[in-house]
Amino acid sequence: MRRELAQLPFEEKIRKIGELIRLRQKIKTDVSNASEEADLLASLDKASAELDAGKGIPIERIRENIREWAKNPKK
Amino acid sequence: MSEELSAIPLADVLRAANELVSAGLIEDYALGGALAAIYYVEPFTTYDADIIFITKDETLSTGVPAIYSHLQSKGWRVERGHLMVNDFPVQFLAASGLAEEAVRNAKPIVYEGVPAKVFRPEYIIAIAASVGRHKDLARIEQLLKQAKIDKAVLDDILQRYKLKLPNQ
Repeated sequence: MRRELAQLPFEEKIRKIGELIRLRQKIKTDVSNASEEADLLASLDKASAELDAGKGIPIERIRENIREWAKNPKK
Repeated sequence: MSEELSAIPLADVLRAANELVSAGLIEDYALGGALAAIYYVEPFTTYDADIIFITKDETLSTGVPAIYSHLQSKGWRVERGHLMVNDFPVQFLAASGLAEEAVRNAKPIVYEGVPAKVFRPEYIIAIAASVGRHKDLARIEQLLKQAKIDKAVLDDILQRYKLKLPNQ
């Protein structure tokens, strides 16, 4: 899976990272409750840190998790 | 930020870097840092772009202000030392030594129709080995696993710059 992601065209990789950045911005904008926002951003930061640490969580999975958190932040 | 704008306006960044070369403000440049690594490995989050450039003359002080001035005249903002294009931070870093060699040997690419150059993976690994932070070591591991590395080229660079990979 990671090797497959590595083979994606550069433009596609940049688009995926851009989606993650945009999603982060959207969470900041959309979530009105401050503690919910903090929880969501903490979760996203944790996921991003794991990526930065080279643990290689597929970006698709992170995006999916964030969508779920955004839909149901109390979960 | 408008939804139409890319969160990472890399084509704009590369276009601007090409303009700096055409305007004679820099000799050459290449994409370095995390975005260069992403060219070869799976995508991971990054929040800025590093453009590594070779100065036109020996006096760095004349080069950097000219770059900032030129890009500000094109609508780029400066925030906390970063040049910003569409709210995305870009660092222009003057190259010397290993980084200068990396620019001179960078791989030509075309990104969204814009010609550019990106550091070759052997140089990204060597530069990461010279910096040695946790994330640099992770980057080395990632490149060794996922990118096609010319071992002879890598060994030559490491030897000439007296660098070692982790666990070597």
